[in-house]
Order: sequence, then structure tokens, then C-alpha cells
Amino acid sequence: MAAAAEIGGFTAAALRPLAHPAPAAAPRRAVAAQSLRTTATETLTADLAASTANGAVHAQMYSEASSEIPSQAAIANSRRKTKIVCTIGPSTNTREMIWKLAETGMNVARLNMSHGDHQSHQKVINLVKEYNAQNTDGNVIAIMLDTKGPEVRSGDVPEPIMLSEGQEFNFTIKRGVSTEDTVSVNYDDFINDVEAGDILLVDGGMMSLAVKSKTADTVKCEVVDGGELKSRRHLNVRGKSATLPSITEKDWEDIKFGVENGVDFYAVSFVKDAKVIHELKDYLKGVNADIHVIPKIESADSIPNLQSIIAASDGAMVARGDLGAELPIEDVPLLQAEIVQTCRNMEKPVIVATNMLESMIDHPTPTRAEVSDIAIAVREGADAIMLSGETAHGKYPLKAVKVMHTVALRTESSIYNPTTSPSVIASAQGLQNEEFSPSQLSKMFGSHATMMANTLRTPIIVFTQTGSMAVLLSHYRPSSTIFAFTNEERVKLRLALYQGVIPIHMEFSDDAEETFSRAISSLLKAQYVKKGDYVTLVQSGVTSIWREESTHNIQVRRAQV
Amino acid sequence: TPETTCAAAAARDRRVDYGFCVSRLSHHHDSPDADTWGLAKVAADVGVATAGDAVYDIKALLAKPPPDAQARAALEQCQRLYDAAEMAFAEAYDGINRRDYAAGKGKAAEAAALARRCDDAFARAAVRPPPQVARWGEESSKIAVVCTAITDLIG
Repeated sequence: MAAAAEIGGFTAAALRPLAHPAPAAAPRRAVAAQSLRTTATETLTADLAASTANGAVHAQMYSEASSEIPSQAAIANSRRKTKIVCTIGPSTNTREMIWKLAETGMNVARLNMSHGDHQSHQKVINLVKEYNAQNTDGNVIAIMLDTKGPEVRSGDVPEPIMLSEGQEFNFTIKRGVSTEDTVSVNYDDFINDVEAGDILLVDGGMMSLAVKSKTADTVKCEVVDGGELKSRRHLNVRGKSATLPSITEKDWEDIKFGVENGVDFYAVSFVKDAKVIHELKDYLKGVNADIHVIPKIESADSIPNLQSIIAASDGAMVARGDLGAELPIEDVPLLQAEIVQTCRNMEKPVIVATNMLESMIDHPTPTRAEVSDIAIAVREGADAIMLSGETAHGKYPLKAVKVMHTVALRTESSIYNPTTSPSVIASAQGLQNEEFSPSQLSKMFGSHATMMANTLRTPIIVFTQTGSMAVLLSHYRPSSTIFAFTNEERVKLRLALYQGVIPIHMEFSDDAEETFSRAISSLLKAQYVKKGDYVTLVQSGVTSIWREESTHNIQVRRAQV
Repeated sequence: TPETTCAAAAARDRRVDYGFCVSRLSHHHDSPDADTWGLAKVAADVGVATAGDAVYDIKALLAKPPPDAQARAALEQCQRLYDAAEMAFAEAYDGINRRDYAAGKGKAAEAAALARRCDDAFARAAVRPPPQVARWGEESSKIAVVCTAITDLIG
């Protein structure tokens, strides 16, 4: 029944403003809902106006009879540049919901290895791969495996809980629990890792509790040393976990599971320095696994080593919940900006995560603060924004994705795209040397192609075997979409994470013109461009495809059938 | 400003190439309002980018068949060395950012040493390094010197 309502809501969104009457008991939601409706209305008005200007396209766009028309999500996603990562959990780990998440705007499916088992995650992986196999011209979903890491933490609490000596207090593996005498922990197997008689240390011993007994999902304790229990406190079992390595035994099992299934990314928990990244990358190289490593920046220890952690990695995730637990909460916005900027400087993707639409776990509409939070992340230049509990176990997963999609799209439409510093650096270097190196040429061509596309208001077509040129173009944040054609399936999936890039798999032929024609025909067929539209076509990158050494090429072409 | 800081650095350490220092630092997006500490970090960040560019160019060279096996082996070693140099410059940045200046300078020196080993690899192979590889080696050494000298200026 809820699914049917979601379907109805999605369909309605394409034709008229959404109506989400707020519960009477939550009057604040009415204000937030009104704000969201205004945003949605503006977006839909713009969409309808654009469609009206191309009446035939409008008619085709919503014709269910045509099997060749791509899904609305594919069209919608071609306009939204900031990618959406969705955590898959009990609320969404079915075929039906995976498809709906993809249609609503999911670009990356995140598997949280702190919960569930390999069997349940295998099911999700298989479903995502099945979806990708069925949608070769539209949306592509990458898979990110998120390790648990050595830390066990308690859950979020709205206010600190005072624990007194001798008091009974419980930890449960149920999610989202916060009562006077019970809070959640972030790890399902916690229930198996502790035994009666163990001493639980909170934040290294600032508080301690004696384990008295266990049920199927709860550890019952008695407070030994009391104190104030805040959100996301470290939990250790005395003598058992203090010396855990950064990658635990369970993590290695999960990593191997990821290798066996060919996931696209690892999000590595509680990274403190670059050493663990090198260790993991060395392992992946040893097993010939082409998987990118994204450290989660979430502990106080990681901040002093930020530059080297990101330099060693393939991107980063701003995991703000734990950052806020370990560092002054007022520092989190500044740290987010610093992490995003560092990644941007290094041309690496960055994901902003945690609490973005937290209220939508239980409520059908976001708070205005949450909407602003998404907008800030988009404006800062995040490649992706992430949903955790909202899609893993929330009541309104599809609504949450839709909100994120709508807000990101609206924010992007208002962003000015100045030329970024790296192009200036490259130009300066170029001016001082008569001979340009490949790196300098690629940067300059990326910059110039972006300026051309922005000026002429055309999308960009790039052909890439390694993905490097598509990544560079994404770095310059062109106004329009980057259609990255690649003959490598692996590269296609990886590019799903990068801002503004729509990856498309296509075999390259020896004839450049024939390949160009097929690419443009593919875009016409998928309704990404229309007959007569101009496109900016880029030939550049590490490997030479159809070009002589040192020859780079930017063309503006008209799309013809 | 980059100009005054580079001049002070050059006065303190004659290995500093003033023109190079100004051109590299002044075009960095963080330099306009940076103090001496900030410019030291800018220098380290330029080092990260320089080593990263070297890696990129070496990959481009390896994508085309090098003339002989010895040249290829040297290039592959250089890629590993510049990967490590990139990390060392990043660690130099982190060290300076933590105000652990000794660690920062040590890592900058390490980065320069790694870059020099690339030149050594070509020398042992009796092969002349490609122009772009030679350039990045020179620039890595220069920016490491700049980074160290500016770090020494921090009061």
C-alpha cells in the first residue's frame, strides 16, 4: 500500500505540484512542506515550460506506450549533476524498491557492512547488477561497500543521558533507539562480541558498565562509573578491542566479499592516516581488483592527516555525524568545507554524508534546515550527497531521494560556474614552457572545453578508456552534462559517482567518425539531445584514441540523425 | 604576499629560485590572503600537484610503447617514485598544518629525494629521461626548497 502511494506520488510529481499534508501533531512540518512545495512547483513549472517549448518532445516524454522512451529517471538524472548515494537496508532491499530508488534518482547503492550479512548484501548486489544489465542507455548504479571499521559506537541521542553508578542501562542492536535506559549501537554483531561479566568502556573509560545479561538484541548492563552519555560514543570491551587494527578481521572478510562481487568502491571507516589506505590498496593490487578506495573522514585523528589521507585515496566521504561527536559541533561546517575543497584541489570525488534528511526517517517531509544543508553541499561542489538511515530503514525512502533530487537540481540551476584555479596554474606553467606536457595539455583542454560548452550552452561528449578526461572535465564543473563514452564497463560504473558525468558504455571502432556518429545517435535515441542541437566533442586524455601523439581536439558539432 | 615571502625566502636560502617561487605560489587559489604559514602550505600543495602531474605524464608515456625495455622499466619505477613523492608532499602539508614544522620540512626533503631517484633510474639505464619527466624532477626539487625555506620563515 505504501509502495502504491509512492508510485502515485512519483507520477504526480511529473504533472502537478506534490501535495503532502503534514500530520496535525507536527505543525512545523506544514511550514517545511510549504517551502518544499514551493521549490517543487518552481522546478516543475520550469520543466513544463521547457517541455511546452518542445511540444512533441513533451508528448513523447510521457508516453507510456513507447518502449524506446527512457525512464523519467534517466531524463531527470541527465539534468541533475550532483550524485545521490543511497544506503540499502530493510526498507529498500527488494527488487521493487531497488528499481524505484534507481528511477527516483539513486546513482550509487551503498552497502553498510555494520548491518546485515553477506547473504543479504549479495542479494542487493545481484539486484543492482540486474538493473544495470537492463538499463544500458539510462541510469547506471555503482556499488559502494562500506566497511564497519574497528569502532563500535552508541547511537544518536537527542540530549545527553546521565548515567549513575549502580543504574541499569541497556545497549540494543535495534536501530534508532534512544530512551532513558536504552540506546542503539551501530553494529549488529555487538550482541555476539560481549558476554556477561565483560566491562564496557565508554570513550576509553570515562564511563564503564558491567554486562549483566543478554537477550537476542539487547545487552543489559549496570553502570560502574557514571557520567554523561552523548551521541556516538566509543564502546570498547575491556581487554578485547583496544588494540584492534584499522582493518579488522571482519573488515577483511567484507573486503574479500567485495572483491568477489566486483564492487566499485570501498568506503573505509575510521581512517586515521594514510597507512591503512596504502595497506588496502596494496591488497587490491595484489588480487588484481580495480576498486576505488574512499576513506570516511569521521574521527578527530584523521583531521591532522587530511592531505595525506586524500592524496593516498581515490576520493573521500565527509562523515559528519561522527565528526560532530568527536570535535566541537560548530567546527563541522568548516571541516566539511575544508574536506570538500581539499578533494576538489586534488581532482578527487567527495561525498557529503550523515543526517542530511535525518528527520525523514520518520517524517514524510524535510525540515528547512535539512533542505539548506543539501543546498550547501551542492554549492560547495560535492560530487555526491548521501542518504543513510533515510533509505536503509526509514519510513519514506523514496520521498527522501526525491527531495534530495529536487533540492540538488534546483540549487544547481542557480550556481555560477567560474573558472577554477587549477586551469590558471596549468596556463601559467604553459606560458613558461614551449613544450607542453600531457598533463598540462589535458588540463588546458579540459578548461577550454568547459568554457566552450558553457559559452555555447552545449553538452560535452568525451571518449575515454580510463575515465581520466571525464574526471578532469567534471572537476571543472561545466554547466551542462558530460556524456562520457567508454569501452570499459568498469570505468563506466566508476564514473557514476562523479558530478555531472553520465557514463555510457560503447565499443569504439577504428573509424573515429563512425564512432562519433554512433555516440550522437545514441544520445538522440535516449532523448539526451535533440536533432539540431549542438554538442562539444572532446578528444584528449592519457591514451590516444584516433589521434596522433600530441594532437588534441575540441569540436562543436550539430546532432544529426 | 608571495613576492615578499619569496624574496625573504631567497634571502635566507640562496637555493630558492625567486621567479619560480612567485609564479607557482601567486597562482594558487589560497595565496591571495595567506600569511607565511599559509604560503608554506601552498608550497606543499603545489608540490602535491607537481608530483601528480608527473604521475599523469608518466602514465601517458607508458600508454605508448617506450623505445626499449630499459626505458619502460625506468618509467615504471619513476611512476612509483612520484606516487610516493606526492604522498610525501601531502604529508609535508599535514605536518606544516599541524605546526610540526620539522616533520613538514623532513617530508618535503623526502619528496625531493624521491624525485631525484627517478633521474637516477634513467641514469642507471643509460637512457635520457623524457623532457617532461626531467622538468617535473627539477620543479619538484625547486618547490621542496621553497617549501622548506618558507617554513623556516614562520615566526
